[in-house]
Parts: sequence; structure tokens; C-alpha cells
Amino acid sequence: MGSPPPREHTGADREAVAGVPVDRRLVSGAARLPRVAIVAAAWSPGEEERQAAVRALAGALALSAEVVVVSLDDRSGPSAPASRRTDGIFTVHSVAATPGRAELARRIGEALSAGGPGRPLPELAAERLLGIEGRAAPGAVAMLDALEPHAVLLAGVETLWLASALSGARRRSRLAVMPLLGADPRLAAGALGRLLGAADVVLALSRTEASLLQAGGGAAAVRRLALPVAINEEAAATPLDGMSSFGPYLLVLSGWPDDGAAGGAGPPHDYVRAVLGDVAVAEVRRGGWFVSDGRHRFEFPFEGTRVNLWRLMAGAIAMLDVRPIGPVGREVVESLGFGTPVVVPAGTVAAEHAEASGGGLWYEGPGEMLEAARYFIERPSERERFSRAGRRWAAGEHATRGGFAAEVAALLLG
Amino acid sequence: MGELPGDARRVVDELRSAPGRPDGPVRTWVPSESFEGTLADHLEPPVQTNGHLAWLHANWDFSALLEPPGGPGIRGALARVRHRAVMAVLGPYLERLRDYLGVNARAADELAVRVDALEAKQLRVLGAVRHDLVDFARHVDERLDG
Repeated sequence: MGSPPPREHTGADREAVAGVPVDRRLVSGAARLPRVAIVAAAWSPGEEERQAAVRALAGALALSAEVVVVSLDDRSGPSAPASRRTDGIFTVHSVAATPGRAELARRIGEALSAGGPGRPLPELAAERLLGIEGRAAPGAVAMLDALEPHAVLLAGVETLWLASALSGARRRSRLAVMPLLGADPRLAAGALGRLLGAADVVLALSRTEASLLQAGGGAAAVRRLALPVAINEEAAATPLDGMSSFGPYLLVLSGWPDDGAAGGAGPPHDYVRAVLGDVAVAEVRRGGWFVSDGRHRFEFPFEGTRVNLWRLMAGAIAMLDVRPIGPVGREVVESLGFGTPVVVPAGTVAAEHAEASGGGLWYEGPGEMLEAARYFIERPSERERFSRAGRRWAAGEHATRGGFAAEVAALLLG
Repeated sequence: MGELPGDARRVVDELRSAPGRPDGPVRTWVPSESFEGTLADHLEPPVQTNGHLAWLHANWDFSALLEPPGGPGIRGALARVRHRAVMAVLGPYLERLRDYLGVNARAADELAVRVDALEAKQLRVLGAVRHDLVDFARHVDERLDG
């Protein structure tokens, strides 16, 4: 589908017609950059991986376009008018939307994957699950009409219903879609393929996601983006206070970011130690971090910031990631960047990183995870080899920012 | 440098094909994590040491409060007459109330002992089941590894 030329934004008439407020600085005629509207389920500066990915992409895009965010996060009721706020260089319009039921969709999806994780779902189930997770927001369509963007990016599975709403006669903008589903089997479903068929370009953040999208058909042009992942290498030189008294340790990542939700228990900490013997285990979990070597147990009094996480990462023998892995596998890339081998769940984006980099191993079950960890404990020279390979891969694949910005602009602006 | 990207897959394949070590982890299956959660949740002080129960034990017998008032002179004598009059009416009721509180404290004691015993028993059973399951999983591993 061809893309129209950038339009000039003229003013308040549009605001009156659509009944939604429009940022006057952006419609005054001073802005000549093409406008891109990013539709996301939420917009916040938190550590959540999907939101961080959308923010990174918006930041890159802002170098060559005027970026406006439409966030489907207003809970004040379906008839409430859109609210507008400014977040740095971005103008964010919050529109009323039904709450998404991502957790329910995830649980049903797991229950239906009788063939094992990553196996395709029945077509009808996949379609219903997409519906469950979507956040219906009629105001979003009016908002996009009023903004008249050159391109619209739908970020996240919650926004995909808009692909069909924006297609057909209403279609005036270039449409890009970024499902942010990682290795979710719904990516290969025909229902998703039909939704994505309306898009000019579909963005995947990993090879796993790209290949699943292509397997589902429907998506005209699937392009993979390697998200830049920055780390502060100084963190390696400043280990957390107290860690020096524990000696070599494994890092278990079971609850990051700490979103305050209940649960978050990873593999039993004592079980890891009981099986692996004389090695300390540091665990980053919801509600607090701690390290134990069997004789001593130390609760970290430090704030659970990413820099402190990096400090733990950089000094570990290996990082065992036992969380559900997101579409980017950000912490895995960071760990590889610090030269710390990773042990991650098989069939995920993280496992793709481990294999592509040669910097980590992957597991099907807890037993395999512990054997992989033991491999790094008992073979320091092999660990060193994995470390070098991971570091080299992270620096080459995920550290480039300039190229990323140019690539994103080319994909979105056509 | 001779580091091929395929190395990681080779290592994973080797780890999967290696026979299980007798002291090694169970590769195919481990008991549910809920065991640890359940065990940890039970690490609470016994009900018998509950603060309310201790208070009940210390205070159920209020006989000392029912003693006739002391004091010299006419004022003291009047107080004792008043006490006798009140106790003539309320005495049997207050005595019954004191007995009731005493029985209540003993019943709460019985329940606390029973709850603590049940909890200890449940922990022992959980530990035994978990131990058996780990043994069983190891046995399955050994059989699978030939």
C-alpha cells in the first residue's frame, strides 16, 4: 500500500469536528515534520519491557518525525473525553478504553497449548484470545482522525483491533504494527494474520517473532528490528556492598521488574543450593533481593534499581532467568553485554539470543536449568568462552543507536 | 578465534544426552514449587504462644476484684455494706461469669494445642511426600537414562 505525502496541520476546525483536543503547538503550522501517532496500551517510564521497547522506538522516531502518543489507558469511563499531557518531547493523549485482560488470556493460552509451550493454538481459540486481550477504545479512532498522522504505529496486542478499524475507506495513513508478542504461539494464528494483513509493515523485535509472523501469513512485510540495549559498563567495576563476602555466586532473576504484584517466586532458592552445592545464590525477586550461601543470608538493603541489577549481573558466574520472557529479552541482552553467560527458558526470545550469541544455554525444565548452571560453575574456561562470545554479540547486535533510528524512520515514514 | 555460534546448541545437546548423576539434579521432573511456598507459609509461631491467649490466662480469674473494700471508720463500714448489698444481687452472676471465662480459656488452650499438633503433622507429611517425590523422580531419571 502506498503512503501519502506529509500533510500540513491547520488547526481548530479539526478539533471541533472530532470533539477531541489537539495540541495547538503541533497544528499551528510551525510543525513541518511528518507526524507519527503511536498507539499503545499504556505510556509510562517504567521498567516493563514492552513499554520500554515502545518508548525506545518513539525516541528513535522523534529524530525525524513529530511523535504523538495515543494511550489506551483512561479508566474514567467510555464517554469521558480524552485527556492530554506532555511527557518530555512527546504529547500523550489518553483515551478511554476497556481494561485488557492480559493475565486471563495468558492463562487460557497456556491451558490450551496442550502440545507444549510454543505450539500453535486452535484457530478459534487464538481469535478469542486476541479479543480478550484487546482494549476497545472507540475514542482512539476519532483521535487518530483528528491528528491526521502521516503514519500510525499500533504497538502491542491490545491495540491490534484498530488495524481493521483503520483499514478500508477510513485509511489515510501508513499503518505499521508491532505486536510485541515475542514467542507467543498466537503470532502464527490466521486470525492475527488477517488483522496484520491491513498493515503496510509489521515490526518484529526478534527472529523468533518474525518467523512466527511469517508462518501465520497475512502480514505483507515483516521486518525485524534489533532494539538497542544500553548498559553502563562502570557497574561491573562497582559490585554491590556485601557481595564480596559471599564469593562466586549465581544470579537468579525471578521477579524483575518489581511491579508490586503478588507471587513472583522463582525456583526454590534452597533447592538450587541443595542441588548445586557450595555456591552462593543471589535472587532478584519481587519484594526484595537477597543472597545466601547456606551459612549466611543477606537481604539487600539497596533500592532495586537497574544499575544495582547490573552490578549483580556483572559479577555473577551466570544469570538464570526464570521469568516469562518478553518480546525483547532485555535483561538477557544486558547480561550478555556484561559477559555473564545466561541460562534461559527454551523456545523463547531469550533462548534465541543465547543460541545466536553463543553466550548462554537454555532449558526445558528445572533440572536442565540446574545442569546448565552446573556446567558454568564446573568449567571456568568454558564459561569464559561463553562470556566473550556473549559480550561480542551484544556489542555488535544491540548497541547501535544511530542505525536503529534511521531504520525505524525508513520503515514508518516509507 | 574458533568460537562458532553453534557451540551453545552443542553444549545443550550434550547436557541433555549425558546420563544423570546419582547426586545430580532431576532432569525430567521436580516436585512442585508449591511445596516450598507451603512449607515457608507454615513457619509461624505456635498458636499456644498467641498474645491474646496469654492475656486470657493472666486475667480470666477476677476474684480479687470482688473482695470487699477495706478502709477505716464510718466511710469504710458504709462501703462494705454497699459491697455486701451489691454482691447479694450480682455475686452468683459474677461467679458464673468467672467460671465461664475459665472454661473458655481452657477450651481455647485445647484448640491451640490441637491446631499446633495438626500443623506439625501436616509439615511432617509434606516433607515426607516431597522427599518421596524427589526419590521417585530420581528413579525415573535413572530408568530413562538406562
